Amino acid sequence: MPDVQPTNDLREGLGEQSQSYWQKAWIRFRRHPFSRWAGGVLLLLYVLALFADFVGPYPEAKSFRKLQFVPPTAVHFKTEDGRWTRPYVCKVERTRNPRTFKLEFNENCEKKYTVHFFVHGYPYKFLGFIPMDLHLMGGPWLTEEEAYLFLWGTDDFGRDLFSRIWFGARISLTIGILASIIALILGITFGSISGFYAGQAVHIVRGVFRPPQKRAEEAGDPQAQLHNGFFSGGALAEGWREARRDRRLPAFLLGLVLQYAFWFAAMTVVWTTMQGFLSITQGVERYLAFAVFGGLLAAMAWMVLFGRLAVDVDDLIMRTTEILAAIPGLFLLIILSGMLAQYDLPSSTRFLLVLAILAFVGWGGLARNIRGFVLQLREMEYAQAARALGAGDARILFRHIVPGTLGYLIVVVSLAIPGYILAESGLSFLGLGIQDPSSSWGLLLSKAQQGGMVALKSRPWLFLPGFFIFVSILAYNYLGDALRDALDPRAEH
Amino acid sequence: MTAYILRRFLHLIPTFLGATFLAFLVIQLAPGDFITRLELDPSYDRSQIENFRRLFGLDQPFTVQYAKWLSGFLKGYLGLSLSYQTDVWSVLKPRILNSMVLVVASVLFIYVVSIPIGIYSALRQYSWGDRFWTTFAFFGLAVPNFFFALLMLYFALWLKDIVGHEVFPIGGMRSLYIDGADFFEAPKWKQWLNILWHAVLPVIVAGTAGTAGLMRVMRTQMLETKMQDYVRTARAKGLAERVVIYKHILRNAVIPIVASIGFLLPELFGGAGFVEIVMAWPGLTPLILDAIFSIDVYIIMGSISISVVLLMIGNLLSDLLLAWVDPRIRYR
Amino acid sequence: MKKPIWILAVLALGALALAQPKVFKVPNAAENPVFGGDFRDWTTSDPKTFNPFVAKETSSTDVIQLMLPTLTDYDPYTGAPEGLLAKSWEVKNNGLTIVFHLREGAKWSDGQPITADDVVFSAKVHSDPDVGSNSIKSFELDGSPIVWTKIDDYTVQADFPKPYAPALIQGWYIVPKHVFEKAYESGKVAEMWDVGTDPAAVVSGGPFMLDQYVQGERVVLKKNPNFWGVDEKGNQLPYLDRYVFTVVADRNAAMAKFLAGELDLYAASDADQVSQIIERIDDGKLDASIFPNADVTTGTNFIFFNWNSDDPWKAQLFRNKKFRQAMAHLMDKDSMIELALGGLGQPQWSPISIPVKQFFTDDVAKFEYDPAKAAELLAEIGFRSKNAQGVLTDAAGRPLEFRLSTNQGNNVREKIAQIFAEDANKIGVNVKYAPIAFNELVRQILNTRDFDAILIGLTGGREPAFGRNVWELDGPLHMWNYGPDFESFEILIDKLMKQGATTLEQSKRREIYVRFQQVVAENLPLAYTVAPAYNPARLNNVGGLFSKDQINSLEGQYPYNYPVTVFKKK
Repeated sequence: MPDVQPTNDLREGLGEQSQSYWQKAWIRFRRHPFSRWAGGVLLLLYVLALFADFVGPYPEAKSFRKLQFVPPTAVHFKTEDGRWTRPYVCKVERTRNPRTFKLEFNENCEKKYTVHFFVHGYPYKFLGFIPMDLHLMGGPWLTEEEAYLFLWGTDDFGRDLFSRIWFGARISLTIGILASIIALILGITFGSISGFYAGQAVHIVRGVFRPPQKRAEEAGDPQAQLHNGFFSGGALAEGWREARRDRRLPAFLLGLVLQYAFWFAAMTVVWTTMQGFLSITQGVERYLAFAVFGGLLAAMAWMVLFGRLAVDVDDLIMRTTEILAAIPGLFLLIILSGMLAQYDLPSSTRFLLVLAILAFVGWGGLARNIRGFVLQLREMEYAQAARALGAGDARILFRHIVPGTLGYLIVVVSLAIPGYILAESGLSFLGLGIQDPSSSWGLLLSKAQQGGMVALKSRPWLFLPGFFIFVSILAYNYLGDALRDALDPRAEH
Repeated sequence: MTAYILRRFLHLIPTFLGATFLAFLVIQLAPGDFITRLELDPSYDRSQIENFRRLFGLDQPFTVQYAKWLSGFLKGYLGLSLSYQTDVWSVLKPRILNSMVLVVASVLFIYVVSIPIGIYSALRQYSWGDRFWTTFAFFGLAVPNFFFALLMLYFALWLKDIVGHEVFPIGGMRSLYIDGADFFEAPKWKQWLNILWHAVLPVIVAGTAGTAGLMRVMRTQMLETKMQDYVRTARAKGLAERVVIYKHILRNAVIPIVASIGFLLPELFGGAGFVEIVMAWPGLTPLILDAIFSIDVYIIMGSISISVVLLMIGNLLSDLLLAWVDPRIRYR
Repeated sequence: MKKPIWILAVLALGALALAQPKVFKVPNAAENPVFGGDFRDWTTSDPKTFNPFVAKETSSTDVIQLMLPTLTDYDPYTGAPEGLLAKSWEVKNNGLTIVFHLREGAKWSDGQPITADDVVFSAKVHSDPDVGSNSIKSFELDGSPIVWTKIDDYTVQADFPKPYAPALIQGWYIVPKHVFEKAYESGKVAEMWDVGTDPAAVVSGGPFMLDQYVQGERVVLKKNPNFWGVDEKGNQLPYLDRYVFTVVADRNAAMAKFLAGELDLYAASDADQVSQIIERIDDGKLDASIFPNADVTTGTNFIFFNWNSDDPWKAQLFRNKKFRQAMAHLMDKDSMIELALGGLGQPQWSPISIPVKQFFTDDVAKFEYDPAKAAELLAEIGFRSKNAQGVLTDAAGRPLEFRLSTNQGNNVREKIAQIFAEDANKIGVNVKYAPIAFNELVRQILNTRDFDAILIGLTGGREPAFGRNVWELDGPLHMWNYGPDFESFEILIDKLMKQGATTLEQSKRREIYVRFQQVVAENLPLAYTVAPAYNPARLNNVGGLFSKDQINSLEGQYPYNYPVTVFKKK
C-alpha cells in the first residue's frame, strides 16, 4: 500500500466498530430527553441571529431620542367594538409627570397602523454585502416614523430592544463558538506538540566554548581531538556538527540567533534590575540582593560561555499552562480587556480581541487533556503502523491522533461555549465587553442592571436579554450532556 | 512519598516565579499607574505629581519594582498598598475572612445539593425526576451571577413589602443594630446568627452557580462505575441492589470528588465573585476590582500570590488525597 | 434617671472651659433640637486611611473632616470666608501677610489644648514633599512657598509670596502635634492612623471621633465631648451621639436602603430615582421629603479639540472659532439631559459651575442646539459640498472628520458623546466616537497629544482661582493648546485668571470672573455640555437641615460640611 488512505485507516485501526460507533452515538444522542429540544432551540436562535436584519424592524443603532424606555408596543387584534381584525398598533406618546417624575405613556388609537408582513423597510445589507430592505414586519408608517413598533420596548437610548436582541444574538452566540475554536486550536496545537514530542529535548542555550571541567576523551576515540578543542569541544560546535549531519543548518542558525538574542536581553534586564534595586535598598537586603543578582548573572554568563541547557518541549508547554492556570482568570481577563481600551478600535475588532483573550485564558486545561490523549494514542497500534509506513509527524498528528480525540473535543466545545457566553456577560457587567452602540446580550443585560431595582420594577422588559442568555446556556448544556452521553465510548452499549 | 512531596515543592518555585512575574508584567501593560488619575486634577502641579510617583516607587523600571516586591514577599511582607498606605495583608485579611463565610457556606450548599442530584440522576437516567433535578442544577449555572443577585435583592425587597418586615436583609453582611443595640455589643452567637442571616441569599446565588459542575461529575462517575465488571460481579453474586449501590458503586464513584477537595483551597481565599458586588458583601472581589481599576499594584499582587501558592498546595493536596483514598495510586 | 443631669453637668463644665467657642448657626431657628441619636449616612467606598497626610480620595477625607479641624472655611450661608479653629484674622501688608488668632480653650479629644504649635507643625508636614500630602498645593503659590510661623500659643502668621485672593480659605487638616511629631521625625508619618489603627488612638479635634471601623462595611463616629463648637443658645455641639457611615458601593443599593428607611439622607441621581422615592412617600411607606432639581452639581463635562494636532489641517480647523461654534450648535443638550442624565439637569455654557452664585453668570453667549446654524457656519469656513459618503468636504475635497474619545465606563459621558456624534453625522460631520480607558485618555492629553477631540470633565469647586492650571497659558492642564501659538482670547483669559487670583475685593473679583466666563463661552476652548441636577432627599425625622430654598449642592443638605447642627427628632 504505497499511499495511506486517511479515512480508511482510521476504520482499519478501530475495525468495523467505528462505523457503528457514530451510529450508536446518534441513537444514544436521541435518547437524551432534552437533546432535540436543546438542538431545536439553538437552531432557532442561530437562524434568528443570522436573519436579524430581516426579523428586527429597525437597524441596530437606530435611536429615537424622545422615546427612551418605551414599554412594549401593544399589538391589537381586535377593534374597539371587539371585532377581530388584522393586527395593528397605535401611536404612543411619552411624557414625564411633573409631580411624580414618572414616565407616562399614552396610547392614541385615533389612527390605526396595520402591521404588514414581509414588507419593505429600512435598507440593510444581508450577510454584509447583499443590499435588501425586506423585513418580517412593519409598514410604511414605520419607516416614516409616524408610529412605532417596539415589540419588546426600547432601551436607554430609545432603540428597539426586539431588533437589538437579535443583533446582539449574533455576538453572544458566536463569541462562544469562536472563542472555543481559538482555544481549541491553541489547545490542540500545544497539547499535541507537548504529547507527541514528550521526551525530546530542545536546546535553549549552547555554550560557545568547551567547559573547563570536561575531561579529554579516551585515547582510542578518533574524535577525542575534536572534543577537546577549546571551541570545537563546546556545545555550540557539537550542535553545528549535528545540524550539518541532519541537513538542517538554516533552522539551527535561526534558533541560534534567537537563543543569543534572548540571553542577551535577559542578562541586560537582570543587570539593569540589579542596578535599580541596589540604588533603593540598604543594609542586609542590599548585600543579599547583590549576591543573588550577581549569582544569577554569573550563572547566565557561564551558560552562554560553557554550558548547555536543554529542556523537554513537553515540560516547557506544561509549565506554561500551569503558570497560566495559576493566575486567576478573571484578573487576566480584566487587565487584558482594559488594555484593549487604550486603542480606539472599531467595535467589531474589539469584539474579536475580547474573544481571543477569552480563548487565551481558556486554552491551558484543554492542552493538558489533549496531551494526555496524545500520549495514550501515540502508543496505539494504528499510529505506530502509520509511522512504520513512513508518515510524517504532522500527518500522524492531524490524520490519526486528532480524529481519535474528536468525540472528546465535541463534548468539550459544547460544554465550553456556555462558559464563554457567561464570561462575555461578566465582562460587560464590568464595562469591558462590547461597547454601545453595538449590541450583545451581555451588554444589554448589564445596561439594564445599571438601573438597579428601579429598572427591574418599572421597565422589566430590559431584562429580556437575561432570559435569552439563560435559555441558550441551558440549551448548550443539555446539548453537551447529550453529546457526552452519546460520544463517550465507555457509555452503555 | 516524602521525596515526592519535596520534589513537588521544588516544582512550585519556577511556577510561582513565572506566574507572579507574568501577573506583574500584565499589570504594567495596562495604561497608566496609580497616580495617573490625579493628573487631571487642576489643583496639582507637574512637580507634585512626579513627587508622588517617586514616593510610591512608581518611577522605577518595572523589573526593579518586581524584584523589590519579591524580596518583600520572601520576608513575609506582601507589600504596601498604594491607596491604603498600609501593608497589604492587613487590608486583605478582613476581606478574605468575610468572603470565606460566603465561600464555605456555598461550597457546603453545592455538595449537599449536587451530590444527591448526581447520584439520583445517574441511577434513574432520563427519568422525569432526572430531568427535573438536572434542570434545577443547571438553573444557577445558566443565569449570570450578577443578574441573579439583583433578582434576589428584588425578591428580598418584595418580600419585605408583602410581609411588612425584613424576612431577608437587602444586601450587606451585618446589621447596624441587633435588638436595638450596636451590632458589636450583642453576644457573639447573635452576631454570627446575624451574619448567617445576611448570607442566605448570597449563598443561594453563589451556590447554585456551582451545583451543575459537581452534579455532572458525580453523575458521570456513577454512570461509569455502574458499568464496571466488579459491579456486574456483585450483582451476579446476588447482592441486594442497595448494597451494590452503596458499597460498590457509590464508594468508588465518590473517590475523585473526595480528592478534588484539595482544589477548594484556593477558592476559599479567592472571594465569591460578582455576587459580593451586587449584594454589598464586603468580601475580596470588590476590593480586588477596585485595586485593578485604580492599579493598586501590590493589593493585586498580594492576592494573586496568595492564590497561586494555595492553588499549588491545593493541587498537591488533591494528589495526595487521591493516593490515600485510592489504593491503586502510588507516588514515588 | 440620673443620666440627663449628669450630661448637663458635663455640658456646663464643657461650656465653661471653652472660653471662645465657635457658634454654629442652625438653618432653622424655630426647630427645637434634641440631643442624642444616630445619624446614618452612606459612602460608595470605605476610607482608605484616617491620616490626612496620606488621604488621596474623598472617601477618606469625608471621614477625616469630621475629626480634624481646619482654620477657616466658607460661610455656608453667605459664601464668605469664616473662621473655624481660627476665631479671627488680620490681613496686613497689602494682603501679603495674614495673622490668624486661634480659639483659646479648644481641646483635642484626649484633653490636650489645640495651639499654634499644632497648626505650624501640620503646615510643616503638609508642605514636606517627602510626605506626599495632597494638601501640599495649599502651601505653594507659583512655585514659591507660603510660610507659616508661630507668633504665640494662639496666634499664627502666614506669609504669601504675592497677594492671593483665596488666602483666607485654609482648608487643610490640622493634626495633634503630640501624636504625630515622633512619627514625622523618624520619617514614618505615612504609617500613622492607617485603617488598622485602634479607633481609640485616633485623636479628634472636630465634632466627632472614631468609634469603630469595619473594613468595607461601615465607619462609626461618636460625639467628641471636647468639641469647641456651640449652637446659638450656647448648647455644646454636636447634638448627635453617633455618625454612622455605611459603605454601599452601588448607588442603586444605597437607594434601596434609603427606601427601606435605613439611611437618613440620600441624593437621587436621576428622575427615575426621584420618582421611586416620591412613589414610596405617596404610598405612605416612607416618611421622607425630596427636593427634585433643587440645584445642579458642580461637576462639568465638556468637549475640547487638539489645537496642537500633528495634522496641520486639523490643527487649523480646531483653532477656528467658527468651527467650534458650529460644534456647539450640534449639542442637543435637551436630549443629553433626558438620555444621559436621566431627565434632570441643566445645560451649561461657561466654566464656572452654576451653584457658585458669587461668580456665576448666565449672561454669556449661548450656542443653542441648531444643526442648520451649524451647517451654515461650516459652509462659511469652506465646507460646502458632500462626498459620496455624505460627509462634508472643503474646497480641496478633504472630508470633515475627526475622532472623539471619552473615558470608558463613564455612562453619562459615553451617552453625551454618542448623542453629539449622532447629530454631527446627520449634517455630514463624520465624528468617529470610541470610548477609551481613562488612564490612556490622560496619557493622550498630557503626553502623546495624538487625539482629535475628547469629552471629559473636571471636578468643579467654589473657587475659580483653583482652575489656574487649566486656564493660564503655561498651566499643565491647558489641554487644548500647549502653545507656542496662542490666540488672543487665550492671552486675555490668562490675564483675567491672574487678576482674579490676586484681587482681594469681592465685587471686583466677580467682574473679572464674569468677563472670564463670557470670553470662554464666546470662544469655546472647552465646549460645555450639561450638568446633572442635585435632588436631595431626607427622612422627616431628621432636623437641623437646610430648608428647601437654602439647599445648594456645594454645601449639601446641612451647613458646615459636618452635621453639627443635625439632630434626630424624637
